[in-house]
Amino acid sequence: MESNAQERLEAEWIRRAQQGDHEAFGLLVEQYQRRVFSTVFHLVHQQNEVEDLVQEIFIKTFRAIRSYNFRAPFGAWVARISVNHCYDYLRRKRSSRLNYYWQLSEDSRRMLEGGLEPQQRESPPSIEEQAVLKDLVKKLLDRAPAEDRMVLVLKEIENLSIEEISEVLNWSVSKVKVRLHRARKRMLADLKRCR
Amino acid sequence: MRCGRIQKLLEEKGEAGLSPTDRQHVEACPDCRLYARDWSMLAQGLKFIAQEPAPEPSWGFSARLLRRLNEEGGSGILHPEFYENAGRRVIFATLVLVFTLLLAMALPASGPVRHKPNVDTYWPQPEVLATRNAPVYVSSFPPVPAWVEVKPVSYHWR
Repeated sequence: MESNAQERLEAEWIRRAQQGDHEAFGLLVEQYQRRVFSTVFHLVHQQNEVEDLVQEIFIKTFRAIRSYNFRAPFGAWVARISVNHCYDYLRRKRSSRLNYYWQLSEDSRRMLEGGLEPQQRESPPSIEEQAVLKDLVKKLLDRAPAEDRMVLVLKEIENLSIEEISEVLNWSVSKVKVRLHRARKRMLADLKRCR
Repeated sequence: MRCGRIQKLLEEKGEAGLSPTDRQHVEACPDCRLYARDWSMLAQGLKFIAQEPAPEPSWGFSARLLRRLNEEGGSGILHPEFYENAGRRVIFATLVLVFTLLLAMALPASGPVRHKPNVDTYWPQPEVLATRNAPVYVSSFPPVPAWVEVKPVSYHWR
């Protein structure tokens, strides 16, 4: 009941924003900004660039809001704009942001060489080990092609279902499954190459 | 075949989601064992990244955004993207025009749309050249229709 009222209210804000009402658009921004911040942060991994990117995404959203036709949920529509914007950003940045094995930290290298195997032990990894593992996986994600990164982040980090990813990326469900499997395999192959 | 299926299952459900026979296979197969170990490490790393809190929007973020929208007029017509798109279209249209002109110049001047070349030009046309010195025979004329009265002509030699 409450969600219905919220949906009606949101639809009203969207209609007003479509007529150029900035205030109504501000209410939509307030509602979705945390989600967009999270998506952008996990896709880009550049804390100092997140806010600028999110601002650009919302400006793009406002410019395109007249073309929104209420078929998909507004959140998924905004997520699609966010992912596309980050994709363009990553493709632009990719050439200057290649990470190589020798750029991995000493601890990451040790982990790659099999010194730390988190699942093999009974005790959970310490905070330092968590940080090392995070650093390693972030570097592997940075090296991955932009499309692989999109699909992996949406599935493994943003925890979206396959159907939601297909809506956000405008791909078929089977294409999402295939790309996801391929992205995981490629990331594992990259890990092996670093070893 | 079996390794591929098990590796997919490992990605989707982890080792805990495998049946006892599949688990036995993983223990026996060095490829699958390595895959399970690497994937569990990556999955755990991805989980740690997911737990990392995303930065919060700074204070007044939406107000600044709305101010920027107001400054830009909101219509988006004066934005650089507009010029970029418009420029791209102009370049495309120019290329199409140039290509059409080149095509029109390269094609031979004949066809149903074009009229016959003018024979009164300075240079003699090919059909004129072909018939100028050729003899004309009676048999090459079409037959006379029946309704045309043909009177015999008598010649008086003097």
